[in-house]
Amino acid sequence: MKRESVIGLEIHLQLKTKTKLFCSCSSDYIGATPNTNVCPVCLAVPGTLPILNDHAVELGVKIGLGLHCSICDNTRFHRKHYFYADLPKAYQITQYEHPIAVGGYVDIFADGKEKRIRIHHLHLEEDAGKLVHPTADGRLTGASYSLVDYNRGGMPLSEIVSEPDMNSAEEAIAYITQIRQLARYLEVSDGEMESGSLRVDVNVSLSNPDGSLGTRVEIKNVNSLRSIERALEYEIARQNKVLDEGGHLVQETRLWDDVAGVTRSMRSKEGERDYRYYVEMDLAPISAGPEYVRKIRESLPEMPWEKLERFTREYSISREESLQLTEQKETADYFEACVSEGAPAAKCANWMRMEVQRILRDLSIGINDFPVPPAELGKLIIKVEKRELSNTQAKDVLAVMVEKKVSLKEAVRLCGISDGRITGPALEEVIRKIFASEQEAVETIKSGNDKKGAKVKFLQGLVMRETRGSADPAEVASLVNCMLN
Amino acid sequence: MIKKMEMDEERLREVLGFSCIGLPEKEYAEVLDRVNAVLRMCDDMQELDSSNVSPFEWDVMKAPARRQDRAVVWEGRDRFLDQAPVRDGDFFHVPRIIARDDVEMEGEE
Repeated sequence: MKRESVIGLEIHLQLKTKTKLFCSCSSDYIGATPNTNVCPVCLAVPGTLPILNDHAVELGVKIGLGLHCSICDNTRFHRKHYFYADLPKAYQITQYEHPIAVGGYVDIFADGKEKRIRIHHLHLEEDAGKLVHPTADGRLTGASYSLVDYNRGGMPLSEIVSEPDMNSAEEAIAYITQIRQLARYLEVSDGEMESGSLRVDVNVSLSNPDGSLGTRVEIKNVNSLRSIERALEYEIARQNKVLDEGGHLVQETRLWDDVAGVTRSMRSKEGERDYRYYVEMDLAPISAGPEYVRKIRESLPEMPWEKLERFTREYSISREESLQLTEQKETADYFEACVSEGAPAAKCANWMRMEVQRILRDLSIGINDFPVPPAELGKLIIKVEKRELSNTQAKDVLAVMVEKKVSLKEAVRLCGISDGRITGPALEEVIRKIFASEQEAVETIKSGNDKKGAKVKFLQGLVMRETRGSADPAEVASLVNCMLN
Repeated sequence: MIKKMEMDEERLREVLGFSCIGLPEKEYAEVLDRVNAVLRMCDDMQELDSSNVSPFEWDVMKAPARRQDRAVVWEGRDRFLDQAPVRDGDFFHVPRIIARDDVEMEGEE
């Protein structure tokens, strides 16, 4: 029987603030000594009171606007109770009935078509601490004790809850990628799954024959895009198999086991009522009025989809090229700085997509760590346009700029190119290469059988061809003769 | 009339499950008695007439609603770690955490 898979996602984004959500502890906890970014508030000492981080609210509103949500003027926090060693208060301060943003959407491109995914809401909440289990695989099972680090406890998160509008793993991945891109453009989060600043819980069900939603299963512990894809494929197949065999699905939370490639039941029976939500009376309601929202809206940068359209239109490059160039804001900024030097946009796009991307891949670095300033790359491309450098020479020059971290002028000199010509040691290197590939001709000359000098001229011609005419013929003749004797 | 609070063994098992606390079978009756004694005390306190007592509360509306995103280092972390039941270097050491599955397994056996 054909059943459609129905997927909804909850994305937790760690917000890029300097401090935690309710106290002044530093948020710079990655690699920090355990339990150093802590204070009586995030350690839940009785009598302490939370005070909301203004910047976290601003970032929440920013991403809400980026998701086309309505920003709620009067919102507030609740306490969500559960017991676990990573939560010292035994409750999490989170937004429940009154989230900061509701009802937006994201447009994605997947399975060869565009699709709109609706956002149910976005709310702010605090993160829990981190548990370290002293077992070989770092898992809880088998641990006779655990260690707690509260450095992450109280970090600001925004949870983005989608409607169940996705129907395939590819759509889910496209949605997550889009949210991550938006978060990075808005500079509200690093959006790195590896470091945990972007975490995803997956809800998946199969639609019933009458079109209604089937039993929903939540999957946790999916820590990479690949894991999400695999977990979804496994879970959709599992649910289909259970139903095909006449069984019934249970509404439950399942954990993804990345090694075994399966989801396993957590058999948790915690329902919403068990969290005993109630209003956090230590925090006043948050006011985010029209004037406050207007100021934030005006501060928003160009959105990725707006940049994509503009690049295609303004620079007359293909949509595919624009997509690659706007995938990261930093890449797009680099491209535009390069073009502003006067280099042709199409050529810049080509250099960025081919040469620069290849170097970044080879060195495993991002565009922010690319050692060549965009203005220098722009000037290099202009030299190629003016035929002062051949393409091959320009690539060599760029390689030297990257390797030796030198200016364009210095790299040109190191490559032995003078006034657009190959000279000196660089020219000798070319001649040596030609000699190596034309040993027969070299032997003929050396044995004195090139009476009319035809072979010498042949070699000189090869050198001129290899240097694309950018060597001085007189210097070529002199060096060839010199190196043959 | 306020409804009196009381917990039965089934509810106790449920709450222990949420709290990830494992309990030997023979201790259930004793713990249930103690929990219900606490609940009875709460019921007794509810009967106190506090209508003329001004509420003890923090006026949240008068407190600063938000703060600047400026980090402050707190120097007391060692004092707190030292006061933990067990300190393990830079960590708080906690006893074995019972996974929910373990609790349910114990209940099923």
